[in-house]
Amino acid sequence: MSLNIAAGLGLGGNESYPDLFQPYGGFPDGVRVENGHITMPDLPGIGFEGKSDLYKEMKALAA
Amino acid sequence: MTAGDNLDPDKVWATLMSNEKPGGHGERSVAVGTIDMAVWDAVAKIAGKPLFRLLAERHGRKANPRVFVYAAGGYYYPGKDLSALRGEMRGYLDRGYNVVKMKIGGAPIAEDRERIEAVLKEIGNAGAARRRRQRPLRPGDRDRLRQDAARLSAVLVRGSRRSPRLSRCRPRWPNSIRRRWRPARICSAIRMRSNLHPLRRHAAGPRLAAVRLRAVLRARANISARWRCCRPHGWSPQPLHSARRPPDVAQYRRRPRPRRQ
Repeated sequence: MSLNIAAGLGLGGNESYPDLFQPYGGFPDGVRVENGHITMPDLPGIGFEGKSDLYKEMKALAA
Repeated sequence: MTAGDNLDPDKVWATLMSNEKPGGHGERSVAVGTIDMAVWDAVAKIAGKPLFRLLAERHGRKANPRVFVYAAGGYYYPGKDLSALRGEMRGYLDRGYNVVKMKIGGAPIAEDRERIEAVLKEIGNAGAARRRRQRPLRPGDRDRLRQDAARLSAVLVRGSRRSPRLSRCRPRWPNSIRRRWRPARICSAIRMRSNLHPLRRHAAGPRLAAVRLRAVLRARANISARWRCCRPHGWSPQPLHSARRPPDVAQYRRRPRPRRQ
């Protein structure tokens, strides 16, 4: 969510937790950090579905 | 998008927040925030686009999918020694990050100093190959810096191989703050910028870094010595009014001005 806000409103950057607070921390699968920047994937909405370990938990809760 | 074919997140928000007391209720805000996030997710999905593009359009901006990010970590764990801390930071750099954040303020100042030095050593080496000349200190820098430090967030700029001097700690709060009260909490984390950071040419030199660090460490020393009841808490740049404690009037009262004859 905050990443989307930072990207959409041009706020200059965002904190990320690559290791901590999994499965929430980090980015959707396939997103790589390059020179301190990421490129947002074109996933509809916030993009939770693109992070498989997170989405797996969400689906389990929704079932 | 026309009216009636999507949810209106502002209206949903207004409903969620109806009958809310001024300033908001602590527990309630978590639930409201969760629902708000789901609403925005749904709105963007109904519109068939990523949320960041939707937000940009709603605000008349051009969406930029490229975002600067930094790695947050450097937490305290039992048995986590300096080499583990360095390894963690190395891992972030290896994954493409060039700014890292670590916790401070949770250990004795001497230990934190060692931790900071260790991480500086780790991330400094990564950037050593791309050192740039520092721009000289400008008149406004120091004031801005003090404000930064006072805003509880400290960014360490690794400017040269020489470490910021940690030995000489002097309090450097802006007079406006010192006069009234000192911040009770400074920060529980610092961010460090490796030399690889693209914005580094705008960053100040090692001298500024040292001043920032001194301010933080000094504040930490003040906390441990004077206000044992206060723990540094929260990394965010919080306004001072949320971090203050009632002033010790006797200590901070301004001296009466000498009367003009």
